[in-house]
Amino acid sequence: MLFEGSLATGNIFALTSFWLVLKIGILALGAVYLIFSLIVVRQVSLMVETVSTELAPFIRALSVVNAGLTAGVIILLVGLFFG
Amino acid sequence: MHLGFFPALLDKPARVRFVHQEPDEYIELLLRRHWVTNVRWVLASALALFAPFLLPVIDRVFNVGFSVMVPLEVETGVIVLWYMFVFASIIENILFWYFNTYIVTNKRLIDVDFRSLLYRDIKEAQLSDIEGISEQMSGILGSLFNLGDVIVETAAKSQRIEFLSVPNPDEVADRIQDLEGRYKEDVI
Repeated sequence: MLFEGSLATGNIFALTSFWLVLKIGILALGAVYLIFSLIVVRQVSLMVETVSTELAPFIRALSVVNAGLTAGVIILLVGLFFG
Repeated sequence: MHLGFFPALLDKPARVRFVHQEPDEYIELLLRRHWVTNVRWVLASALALFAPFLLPVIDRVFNVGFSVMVPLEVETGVIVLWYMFVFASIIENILFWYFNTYIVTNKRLIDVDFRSLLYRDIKEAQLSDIEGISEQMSGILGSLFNLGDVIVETAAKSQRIEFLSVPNPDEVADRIQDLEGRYKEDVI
C-alpha cells in the first residue's frame, strides 16, 4: 500500500513536471517566434528599401504590429500558465 | 490579369521605385510570379488554420481522451503556438511573392530575389547587352492562366536573366524587344 502510494505520488510529480516542462517549451518556442517577428521587421525594411511600392508603408506597419502582437501573446501565455 | 492590390504585371507603375534607380530611368514593367503560383501554399495554410478544429473530432471518434489528459492551458498554448507558426509561414510566403520582382526599365532589366531572411540578390543587365530573348509557356497552368518564363540571354556578367512564371510572357518578351530596339536607336 505504502509502495503503491509512493508510486502514485511519484507519478503525479512526474506528470506535473512534464506539463511544466511542456509549458516552458511552449514559451521558449513563443520567444523564438518573437525573434523571428523582429527579423521580419528588419526584412521588410530591407525589402521596402529595395522595391518601394504604394503598399510599402502599410506592409511595414503590419510587420511592426505583428511583432507587438507576438509580444502580447507571449505575455498572455505566461499569465495563463503561471497566473 | 491581376488581383487588386497584388498585381503580377504593372505597366509603367507611377508610384514604384527601386534601389539604385537613376534619375532619368523609369519603370516600364514591374512583374511578379503569376498569382496562381501561390495557390499551393494558400491551400496548405488554409488547411493548417482549420486543423485545430479537427482535434475534438479526432478525440471523439478515436476516443483518445486528449481533452481529459491534457490541461486546458497547455492545449490553449499549443494551439496558439500552432497559429503563430502558420501565420509566420503565411507572412513569409506573401513577402517573398510581393517583393521578388522582375523590373524592366527604359535602360535595363533587373531581377530582385529575396531567397531567405535578410538575403537579397539583384541581377541586372543593360538593354544594350541583350543577345536573345525567348519565352516558354508549358503545362496546363501555363495554358489556362497564360503564364510562362521569359529568358533573356545577355553579354553582361549575369549572363541570363530569367523572369519565371510571369503573366503574358509573349507580351513581356515583345515589350523587352521593343525597348531594346528603341534603346539602341537612341544610343546610335
